[in-house]
Amino acid sequence: MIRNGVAIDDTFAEAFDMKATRVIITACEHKWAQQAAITMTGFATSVIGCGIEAGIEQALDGKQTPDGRPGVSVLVFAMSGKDLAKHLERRVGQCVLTAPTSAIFAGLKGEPVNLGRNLRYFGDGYQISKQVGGRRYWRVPVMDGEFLCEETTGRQNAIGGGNLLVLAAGVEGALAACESAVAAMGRTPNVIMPFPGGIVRSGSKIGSKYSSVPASTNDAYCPTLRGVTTSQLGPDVGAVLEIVINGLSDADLRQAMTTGIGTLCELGQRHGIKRISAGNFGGKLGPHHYHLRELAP
Amino acid sequence: MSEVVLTLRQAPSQRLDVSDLSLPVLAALDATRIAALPLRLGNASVAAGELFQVTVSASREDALVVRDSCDRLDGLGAGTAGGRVEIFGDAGAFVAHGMSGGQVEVHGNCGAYAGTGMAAGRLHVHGSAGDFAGAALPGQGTGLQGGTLVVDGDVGARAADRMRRGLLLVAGSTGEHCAARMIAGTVSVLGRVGPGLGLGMRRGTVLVRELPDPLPATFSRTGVHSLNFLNLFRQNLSQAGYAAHGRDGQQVQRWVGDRAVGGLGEVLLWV
Repeated sequence: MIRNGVAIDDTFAEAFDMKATRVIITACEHKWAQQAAITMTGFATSVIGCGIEAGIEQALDGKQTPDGRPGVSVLVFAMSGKDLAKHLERRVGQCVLTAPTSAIFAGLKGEPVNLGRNLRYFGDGYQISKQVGGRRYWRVPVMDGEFLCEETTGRQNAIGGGNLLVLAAGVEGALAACESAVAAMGRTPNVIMPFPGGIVRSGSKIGSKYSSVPASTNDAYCPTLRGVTTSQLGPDVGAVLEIVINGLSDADLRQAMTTGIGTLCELGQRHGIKRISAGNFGGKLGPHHYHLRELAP
Repeated sequence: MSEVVLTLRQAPSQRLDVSDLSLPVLAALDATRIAALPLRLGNASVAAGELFQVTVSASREDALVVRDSCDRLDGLGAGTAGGRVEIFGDAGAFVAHGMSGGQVEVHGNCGAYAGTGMAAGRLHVHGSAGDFAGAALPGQGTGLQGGTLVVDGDVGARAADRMRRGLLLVAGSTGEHCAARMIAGTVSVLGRVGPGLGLGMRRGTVLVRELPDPLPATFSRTGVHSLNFLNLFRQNLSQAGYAAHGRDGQQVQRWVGDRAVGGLGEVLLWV
């Protein structure tokens, strides 16, 4: 299948089940909500090394937040509910509680996940519980006033690991194309792209020649190893970048990937885009398979 | 689902305990059986049908309507767990005692202990309430335990005494010792507040528009603060139809007490 000169491989992205939650961070100004969210979602690119995958979903104005202040919604994904609870609490405690004027609220209904239930003890006995509209909040005294946090947020089943591989003539073209695709996909609700700027340059394969290393470089897509390994790259490909997508539902992931493929194809071969492919492990990793040719707009 | 209408034939000569005529009980009975229910009138047992004209009709929700009510009827709306109770006229003591859900509306004044033992739901008194609104009964540890108690008029003395949880909204004024021994929850008063506010208060929040004279000396002033939770409070009240108890802005003067008992309750004065 070729769209605007870009070949779409007959393959699929393989995704797996995760648990996810959404939190809403607010502050006196949008920049401080954003700062708290950036800090909280830092070092949250992959569950392999970070425990969770997290990203900013969208900016919110005062009409969209519980306390009427500007805010940011953040999606957090983990492999289990236990991991989600552990890392969420740690990150909120270190990154949101500490941010000036911040507050944090639940952004999802579902199985409860602790938000302020244990963080309240930072108040050393001076914390105040308030039930408003049937929901429990904690007011924790801090040096700029009070940190307001909802007691719990909700979690739901989600999907992680959707991906697109962008094969281009050079890294400049691949990067520009991925930036455009990530920007377009970022407008889809309920999804995040947790890697830096939404883009990965170090795609991995399972296993390694070293027994202690569980994952290693995806040599089949490394242009410098063409001719050395069983390469998936033709002679016209000089760089490959990957976009990894996590979503709250199958439909969200499909929508985001369709948007991504569409954006990449619009740029076309004249921008150096040669092929769009996807990473999978032969169906052994996860039950969710996203066939690129079915998703192409 | 059924709507039961009880129309008081004439004001009883003595206090009448009607707490047995609770909505959960009446919803399962027809008019004949309701009329046969025994009630205590003084030291006598009287059939409900002798005191009330009873009609039952189909309805989209369980409802109890009491017409021509008077202040000698105690325990109206007691035990309400869902549905709607409407009382036209005054009510006696213990309105909505032990309520655990639904709505009770009093289109008149009510007596002492309105909403005592209430755990959930909403009690709206369109007139004034007597002493001990939302307060604990003698010998009981907690007053209002949840839900919302709204009084459009004034409340008497010791409103919210030992209140444990929930919301008390008073559009008028309060008598003395409002929120005394309060354990938790939120009280908002739009009118004047009587002396002795919050004596023995442990936790909880009292929002006022003017301070009582004097505020107990055992409350410590902590200054003027911008409290974000008031945004939530205002939005929630606005959605519930009680916008008057909210206020644009979130700046308040804050006193903490009652420090005489190590309390960390708060009196917030809108500024």
